[in-house]
Amino acid sequence: MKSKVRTITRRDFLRAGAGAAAAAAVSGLARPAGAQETGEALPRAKVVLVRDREAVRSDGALNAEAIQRMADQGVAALLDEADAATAWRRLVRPDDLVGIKNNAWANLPTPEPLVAGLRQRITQAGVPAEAVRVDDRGARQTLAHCTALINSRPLRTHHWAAIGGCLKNYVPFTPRPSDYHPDICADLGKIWSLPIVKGKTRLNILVVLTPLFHGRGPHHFDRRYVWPYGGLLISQDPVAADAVGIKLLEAKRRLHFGEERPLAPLAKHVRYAETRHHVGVSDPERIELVKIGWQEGILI
Amino acid sequence: MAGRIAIALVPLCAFVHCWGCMMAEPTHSLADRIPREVVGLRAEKDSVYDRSTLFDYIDGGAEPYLHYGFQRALVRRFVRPGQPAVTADVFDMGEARNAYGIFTFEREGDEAGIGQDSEFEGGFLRFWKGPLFVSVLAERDAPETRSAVLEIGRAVAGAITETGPRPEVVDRLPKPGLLPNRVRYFRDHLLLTYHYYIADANILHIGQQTEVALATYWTEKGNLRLLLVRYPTPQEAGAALAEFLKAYAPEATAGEGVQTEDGGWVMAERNEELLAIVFDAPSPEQARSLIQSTWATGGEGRP
Repeated sequence: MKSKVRTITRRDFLRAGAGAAAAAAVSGLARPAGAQETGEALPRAKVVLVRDREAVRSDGALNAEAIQRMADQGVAALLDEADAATAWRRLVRPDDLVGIKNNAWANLPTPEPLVAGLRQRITQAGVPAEAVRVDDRGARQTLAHCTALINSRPLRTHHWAAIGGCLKNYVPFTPRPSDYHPDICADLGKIWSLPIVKGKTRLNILVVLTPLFHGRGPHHFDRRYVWPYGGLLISQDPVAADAVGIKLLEAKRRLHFGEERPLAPLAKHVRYAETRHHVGVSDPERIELVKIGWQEGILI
Repeated sequence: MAGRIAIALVPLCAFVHCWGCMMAEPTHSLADRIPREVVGLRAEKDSVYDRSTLFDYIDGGAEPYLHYGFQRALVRRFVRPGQPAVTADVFDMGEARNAYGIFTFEREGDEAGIGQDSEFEGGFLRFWKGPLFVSVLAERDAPETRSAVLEIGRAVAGAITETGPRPEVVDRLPKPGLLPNRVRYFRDHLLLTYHYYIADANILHIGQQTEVALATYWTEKGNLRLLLVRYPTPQEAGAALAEFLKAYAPEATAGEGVQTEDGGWVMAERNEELLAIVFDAPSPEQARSLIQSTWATGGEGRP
């Protein structure tokens, strides 16, 4: 039976609700192929947003203690455990070789205190210290044999892919990253099916301590567009974490610029990660967002 | 004063060596175009990038440049002890319209009077001149670095002898209400998607054979957008209009507006090989008025 593919337009996003800001909520656009026809229940996801007003000090320095506390609270809440130690024992096994896939972008790297805290919790869960590796650009070599991956990077807008989030963070696992650039990086989700990473990711931490909500210049970085949000988005679903990240950035852009500057329509890779590549859930209506901690200026 | 500095610095280009010889086209030698010392800041060793290596320099950010026809780049970092470094990136975009296009890609700030068009905002200078697009940025924004950024920009602009025309389709944009720093020029569907998402598919048939200007106009009731596309032939413009109406506004006919779900009006009309589409208009009358003004604008002011 030949199925007719309808062109998705801006108006589909507008129909979804209050302007393009609600674009990612377009349920018809963000459903896995065939789900409606078969009547099967659509997948759901859980994302924990944990914030602490002490995480980013007034001089911009990061508070390692607060970050560790946030990560612990977030991981425990994500897995509905009473404490982080129990949650981590569910995430990694003592015989795992664990890779922490961070992000080394000089302007906004994965914060070292977060990586140190992750390393500590992983080893406390029984993984030998020498079986924990951390890398970004060299991940294709250094993390190739890991049995478990922890994906952690800061959230930012991006020149071409609209956002740099959890999905995009696995680009260094590919032999030629530029292969994933066509159609504004629409098929980044495909990376997650490569044998080098498939099924290995135990946790995603999208760092929103100081997100970048607008970029300028060849390097797409301008310190004026970074703000101290003081949060972490934690999920086992990278697509859901990115979808929530998009909502956060859109809210901040609306607040700052006084007009809609949507990202969801551009971030095709997040939509397609669900509809084409079945990596996770991109529809915010099917994402349970649990909020912990500091509420002021939460935006979403 | 600025002019004298630029003139004085041009002879410094004679001291430039090595990197100019490495460029594919001596006449486009990027290295020769930039002085090695400006207001006490001295150049470090240059870096040169081409289409295959640009990702090494602007990882993840190279795609827009490649889509605008990027050929090669020269990166020159200026340093002085105790002062933040200033980096000048000179991108050879092959053609003036490409240099203009990448300049408009993220134009936001006020004109700085450097090159053919420029902006200076937050200590960051961008301009285009001839086939070259230039950005100058200090590692840390401060009053002293702002003046250094501007002086280096003037020196680079002064060393560039070529100029080029602004794309004709841009000069067809009506001037009343136009926000100059919100004009975008491109020849690529993905760049349209980047600036103003219309559809996943290329329903307007935009490609290298088309010239596109996307402009924002201020009105008391909110900004509206004008998309102006020049096709190779009237037939191609007609085909694009037909597909646009079918996919985006099936309830509309050419020249008649449709109110979209956010309350704005969209209207599309063809005039020979030109297609004008107004989005987000507060009323059908304003959409129609802008389209009529477009047809009445004959590209006056074209350099």
